[in-house]
Amino acid sequence: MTLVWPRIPQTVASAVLEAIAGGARPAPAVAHAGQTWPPVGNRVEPDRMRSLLDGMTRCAGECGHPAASSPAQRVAFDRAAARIIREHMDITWAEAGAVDMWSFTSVVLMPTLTFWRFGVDNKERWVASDLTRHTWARLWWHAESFGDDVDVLAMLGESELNQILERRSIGGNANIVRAFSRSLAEFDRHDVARRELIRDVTKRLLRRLAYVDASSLSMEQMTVMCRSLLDDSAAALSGSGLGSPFPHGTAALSAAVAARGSRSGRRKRG
Amino acid sequence: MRTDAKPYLVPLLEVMHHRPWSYLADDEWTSLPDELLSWDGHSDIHLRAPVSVDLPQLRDQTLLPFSSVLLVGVHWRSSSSGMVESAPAVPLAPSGDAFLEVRLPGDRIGGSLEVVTTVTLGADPGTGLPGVAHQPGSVLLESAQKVLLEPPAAMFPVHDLDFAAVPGLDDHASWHLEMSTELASPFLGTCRLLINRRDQELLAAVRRGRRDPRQEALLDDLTHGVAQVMLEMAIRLRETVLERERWPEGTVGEVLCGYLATSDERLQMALPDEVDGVPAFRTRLAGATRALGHGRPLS
Repeated sequence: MTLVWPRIPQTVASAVLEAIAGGARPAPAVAHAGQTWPPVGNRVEPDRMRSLLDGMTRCAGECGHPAASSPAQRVAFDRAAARIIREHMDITWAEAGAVDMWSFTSVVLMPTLTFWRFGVDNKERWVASDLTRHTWARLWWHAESFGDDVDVLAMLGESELNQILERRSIGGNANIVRAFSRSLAEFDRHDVARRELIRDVTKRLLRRLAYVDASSLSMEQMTVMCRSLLDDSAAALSGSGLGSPFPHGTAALSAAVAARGSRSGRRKRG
Repeated sequence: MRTDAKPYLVPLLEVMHHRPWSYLADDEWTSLPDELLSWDGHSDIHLRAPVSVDLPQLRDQTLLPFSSVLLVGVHWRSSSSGMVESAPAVPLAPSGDAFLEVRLPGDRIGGSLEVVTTVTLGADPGTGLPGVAHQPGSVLLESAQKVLLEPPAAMFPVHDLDFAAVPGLDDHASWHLEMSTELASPFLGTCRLLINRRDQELLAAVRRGRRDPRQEALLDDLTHGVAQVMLEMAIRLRETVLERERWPEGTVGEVLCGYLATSDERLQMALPDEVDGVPAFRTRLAGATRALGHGRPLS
């Protein structure tokens, strides 16, 4: 049974963050005087919230918390915490899209862990706006999008995940996320800079998705498409160039059109 | 995708005949309305619809060979999450007919739903001809139907708070509008009207039920005030809002675009450069808000 979690308005969340940034000690709680609830839905019990807090705190402890963490520890924490938060928060996608709910998790329920993971300098990590940037929302959606493909999640860095998930044409479709991420993680060419490769191939994928309905593709077809785009990117970036996309030229098309007696070119779409 | 030119030949729209979707309600199939506000927020929604494609016409207009594999698929997008899900695409029968039946999982939909049917290429037909679709998944035909599952934000989510307990909120203010400036974010998920618990009179007026004239006046005033804030934000963000011809449904961008999408010259007002321009700006803003239909009408 899915549940609803408390919300905290942006104004209240910002005020709490400001206090923490000003030196107030962050203190986890399961309720806040400024919280609200959605009008319908079964409310999560305080014990469930405490269970999430305990599980996440243990996980953070294994990754160096409360001491300052290394980059490797932070990545390890994110990957393990994604599974924990998804298990504890069995919520609808609509609920998972509620920014005020995520603000509650960071400023009320887990402020010490939010502070440990990201400090106080970046408001987006605390007061949810872009859910691909919020400390806990992004982990929930990582777990939801990747599902059983946690091995792929473990192979990608934060910036790589951001590149994939921030673009809704890609990040909004879990099947594309999985196929693209796995193809990227398994791509073994090392003669091109990774960052440039991801930037370039993401653009190619977006262009392809402008006229390909990825939902109609099997996972195998999607993987083939992603790998092909990666090959094209790597070839372009390494300077080896691409073959002509139209090996037979436009003359053949004109001849075929003339033979059929059909109209060519752009078709009017409603 | 629907308004872009494809890099290959596509057939005319009339090649596909897509009957409107029906949905299962109390064990009976009923025509899917534009709004399904009775949806309980968690039940699955079952849809079905017959589709027929004039395959000879399609092949003639796209130059695809007879052997081309064509698929028909359904996917849907919810404004509440921005996520897309789909049912597996199935081959189009040699007759060109298909009967679509899909189940939309209730825990993964919400807000405004767009259900899209596509006829796509299942595999590379191997013609090698430029201008002829060859990528698997290439969209040849498309049909979309929208249904609203949750009420729109005529008045958006309202919450009462003790403003005195919240730094940053003046406890003498009656209300505060929280609003995101992330234009792509869902409007319902990011905008809140906070009412100060100290203003019990306003709280009573906002609650449902019969209102007396004073409560109606308070509500008119509140509606006007909130709309005025939104209009001012739209004007301040005009350049960014108008960068896109169309914002996705249910987004902040779409709502603000709606405020600007009028030929009323009042909305062309510039922000005041000097402080002595503030009164005139406020008056014009108030007038424009009322002209848009918000607040107490002038007698």
